[in-house]
Amino acid sequence: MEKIIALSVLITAAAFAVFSADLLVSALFLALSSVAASVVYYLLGAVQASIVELSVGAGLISILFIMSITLSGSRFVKTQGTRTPVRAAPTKLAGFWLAVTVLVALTYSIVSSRAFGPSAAAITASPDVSPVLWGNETGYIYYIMFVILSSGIGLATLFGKGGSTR
Amino acid sequence: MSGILQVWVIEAFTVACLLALGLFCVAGNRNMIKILIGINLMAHAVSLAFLVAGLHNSALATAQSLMVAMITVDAAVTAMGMALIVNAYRQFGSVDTDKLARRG
Repeated sequence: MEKIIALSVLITAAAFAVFSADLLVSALFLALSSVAASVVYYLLGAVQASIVELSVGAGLISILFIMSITLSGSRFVKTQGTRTPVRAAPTKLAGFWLAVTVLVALTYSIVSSRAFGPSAAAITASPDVSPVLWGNETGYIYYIMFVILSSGIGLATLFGKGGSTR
Repeated sequence: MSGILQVWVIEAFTVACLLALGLFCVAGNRNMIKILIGINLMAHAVSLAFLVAGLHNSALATAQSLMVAMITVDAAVTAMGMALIVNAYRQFGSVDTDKLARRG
């Protein structure tokens, strides 16, 4: 039940992120879909991946998006040369739908008299990722370092002058 | 229909929906920020597919390590894409791909 709610929140947030004309609203719904994805990972037993998704996907990437939208100064998706106004109805509908979902989830939690998520035994039995991630592949750490370095170069370019400014 | 789709129907449906939404966002938009949002959605779909495949094959640790690597790469791709978008805006004054193609 929790899994179905989280998956439906994931799909709905993704749909709102795609169809929203306001880029800022779109980025916020993308962050919400990241949160829903991390909940799904947690419920399926991937605890470590859930933590990484929550910190990187919902934290870092959404901040990058908001910063980029602010820097580029183009908040609205333009269609055929005209600015599309913000439609309040879909946003209100999304808020109402999310409130109903949370209410249903809380009611289910109270009625079934148990907490959300996998049991403590399941989390303890969750496999340890570190031997697979770091132990078996010695070259892996250089690969991750390269990825993080390229990300740092991208951020440095984002903050730097980067050619002529208008 | 047999195998993974039979057991993980809801997850497979979610993966398909997210992939379709991401592809639609990438193909149907001219705004570069929106295209990057679509790429992120497709990365979510692929991460979920990795997790479901790992659960199905009893290889959760391998799936999780691949997911962690993928999330890191996705963040790096987003940072580089954002840098390119902001610099394109500074250079040409627009984030519309059609306008950039006309100027190029």
